[in-house]
Amino acid sequence: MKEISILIGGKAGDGIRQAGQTVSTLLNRIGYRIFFYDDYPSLIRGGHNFSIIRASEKRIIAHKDSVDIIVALNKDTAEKHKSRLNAEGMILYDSKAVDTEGVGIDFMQIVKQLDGLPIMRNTAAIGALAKVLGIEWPVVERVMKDTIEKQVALNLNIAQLAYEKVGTSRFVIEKLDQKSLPLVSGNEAIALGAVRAGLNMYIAYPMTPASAILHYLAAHEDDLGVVTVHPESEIAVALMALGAAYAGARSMVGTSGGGFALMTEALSLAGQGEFPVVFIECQRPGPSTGVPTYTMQGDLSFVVHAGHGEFLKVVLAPGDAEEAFYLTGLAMNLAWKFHIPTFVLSDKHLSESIFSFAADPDKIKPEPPLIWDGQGKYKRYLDTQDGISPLAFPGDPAATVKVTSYEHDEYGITTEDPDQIARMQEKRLRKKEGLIDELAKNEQVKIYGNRESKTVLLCWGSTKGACIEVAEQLGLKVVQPLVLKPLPIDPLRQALSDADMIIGIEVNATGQLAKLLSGHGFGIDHMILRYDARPFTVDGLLDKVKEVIS
Amino acid sequence: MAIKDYLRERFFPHLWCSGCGHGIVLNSLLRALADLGMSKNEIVMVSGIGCSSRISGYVDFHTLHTIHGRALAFATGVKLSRPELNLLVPMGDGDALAIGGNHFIHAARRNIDLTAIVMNNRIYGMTGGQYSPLSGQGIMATTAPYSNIDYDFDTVELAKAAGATFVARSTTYHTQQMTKMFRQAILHEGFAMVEILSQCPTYFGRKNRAGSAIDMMESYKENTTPIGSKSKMENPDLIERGIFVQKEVPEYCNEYDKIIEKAMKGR
Ligand SMILES: Cc1ncc(C[n+]2csc(CCOP(=O)(O)OP(=O)(O)O)c2C)c(N)n1
Ligand code: SF4
Repeated sequence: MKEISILIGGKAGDGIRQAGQTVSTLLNRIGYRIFFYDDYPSLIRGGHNFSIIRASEKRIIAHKDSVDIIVALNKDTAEKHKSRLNAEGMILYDSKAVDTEGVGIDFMQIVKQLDGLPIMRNTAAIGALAKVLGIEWPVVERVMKDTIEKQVALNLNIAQLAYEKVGTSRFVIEKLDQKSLPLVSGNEAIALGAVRAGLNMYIAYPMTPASAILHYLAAHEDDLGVVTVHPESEIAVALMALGAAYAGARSMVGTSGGGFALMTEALSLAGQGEFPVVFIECQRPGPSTGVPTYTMQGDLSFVVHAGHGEFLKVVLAPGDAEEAFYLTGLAMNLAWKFHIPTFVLSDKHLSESIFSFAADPDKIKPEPPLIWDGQGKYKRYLDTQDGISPLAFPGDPAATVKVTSYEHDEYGITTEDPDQIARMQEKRLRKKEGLIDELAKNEQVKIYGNRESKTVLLCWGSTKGACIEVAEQLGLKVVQPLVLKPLPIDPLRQALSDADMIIGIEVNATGQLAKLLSGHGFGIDHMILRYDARPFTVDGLLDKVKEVIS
Repeated sequence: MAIKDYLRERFFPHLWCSGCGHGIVLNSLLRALADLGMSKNEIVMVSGIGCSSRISGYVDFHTLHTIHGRALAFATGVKLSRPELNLLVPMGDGDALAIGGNHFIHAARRNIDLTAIVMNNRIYGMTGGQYSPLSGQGIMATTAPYSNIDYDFDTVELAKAAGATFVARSTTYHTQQMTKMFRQAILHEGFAMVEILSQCPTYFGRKNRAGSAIDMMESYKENTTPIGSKSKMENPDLIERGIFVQKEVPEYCNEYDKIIEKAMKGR
């Protein structure tokens, strides 16, 4: 067997995500490509948690509803997910907590026998699972040594005892002859992409599912060297980032929809004052507090149209960890080249899932902005042919850097003069030409599956993973725009022109990409929408697409 | 009315971690309401977002579970339109004083008749242990893995300076005192702020090696003292408990009524 899906479930607080990550690492070490999905409620304790680890010989970026193994640490897991099991599938369960069929082991008994802590029950489960999978003990031992931080010997003993208790293996997961790749979450990829593009300062107020970017950069302040700040609110966050950019620091902010709503005032200031700032918006289901720990692609229209007044911005929508890495780097460089706010639109499903990561870090370099040459009197808003005014920063003895939220002249002095106003509006908007040329140097629309097919699955962001696999199975074509503003009209036209049927696939209730495209004359024939706060799975989407095309 | 009647029991067990102080605050608050013999439909509870704010889900009053930091502004709207209602506004420390800090000082300044309860665990529980404006220097948090450099607010001093007309502090160790304070705060006409030190063993406790919930509660016993006690003079680091301000100042809704009367004179 060259592919396997494992579901691990228990109560919130049982350490399910961590157990899932260890299992991912285990399969990663023996050459498998991993996609890791984490499903947890907005509770610190109690409630039902589960992770799905899908490991395959090929690169995968989606999970399936069906699984081969369920590891049940509580009754809920067995009951809720039993129906997912494949014909050959089995349940490995805690025999104290669950009464079902499969392999039952008293994990707590093992922990107690070795004087472990209750949380180490999941270590026992991992040990038993490794044996079920037929993974050799030395591999398990090495992975545990590398991933467990505290009480390594004790954990190892617990895992080994559970490993031995299983007896015979039920699956044979062979070691693959390919190099293992780093396992990286979408949020880590965003952080790393920004760092490669010269990020100096990350400012954020905690908000799921964006918080992990802040935690990651804060924990790596020593080796990544990014200053992180957690101020009193998202209003402060956005303004601090603008201030940092004014003073020359490459700054970035990250939040979810509710937090971004508070940043829109500063966003317009970035438009008027021409501040380069990167915004990361990790969507979760709204409106308002919504469903904090689940996923939705519901903020596309909001982000694309955010901010009062008319100004230029860029919205990029990665769908996997590599794209998150590259596009965040691009967002940073574009912000500083054109002195505009740029966006990376993620969602819970991309941000918190974990991927086998194969990006080339050398593809991102910090591109230096256009700096003032020191000649004459400095004009922050010098009216140039391409609309880009050279930068100087406060502290420069030769320049006075005046910036304002009012309309202004070239020096940054407030104006109400009609000619000046019109001229400055034009200067700012003129940057769009250069921006479009610059974007055209990058891949703006991705195509997957059968390029000749006249049936297109049109998707964006994290929905691509399920779409690609469905398209491969059914011989269809996938079109995924990476740039959502300014919309890459020509590449989209090329990708969609000879389609007979375009099926829009989105995780929202109204089909926001479809709406955006229809405003530009693209007709979408069918929509497959999911808005129960869960992402599409490969098998779930397959059935839906079959219904539409049959 | 029996305490149980104030609860929505079908939502139990509650979602707070075992040992969390927030449940103790709920308990004392319900006792205070029972002591006052308040009927359920004269109470409106408005909360924000956070572990603390989940309190509104467990009580059987009219409740508004609003958005992070905005509960006081929301409650002000309710009170202005129905001044006869009793408004209870429980908030986390982040909720009340980080994102909601502006609303906090302005509600206090207006002296509008609300009971604001700051459930201070010195950390963000709900989102995973980030520091709050009440954490203080040297505290370990998810967003301060090398220890926090931010100074903290003194909630009591802040409320006083902003004009609150009832200001009190207690802890989850001192439940009798807490209950009594809630009673007085609810009866007080004007903006009442009660700060309760409430332990978060899961994040604050673990990150700061503060021990179990019981250890943390014992530290409330050891590190606090009644206002003006002798031990405070000997050990200025002790945190004072009790009622710091209790004064009669015309209340906002009443003042508004007077203005209306004045404006409508003769009509
Ligand atoms: C605008 C906005 N930003 C961020 C969040 C995420 N968030 C929810 S609760 C919370 C902080 C909770 O801490 P606190 O108020 O101290 O209450 P506790 O959970 O500790 O009781 C945060 C940051 C949000 N819901 N809305
Ligand atoms: S995380 Fe902290 S504040 Fe939240 S329920 Fe648990 S102990 Fe209470």
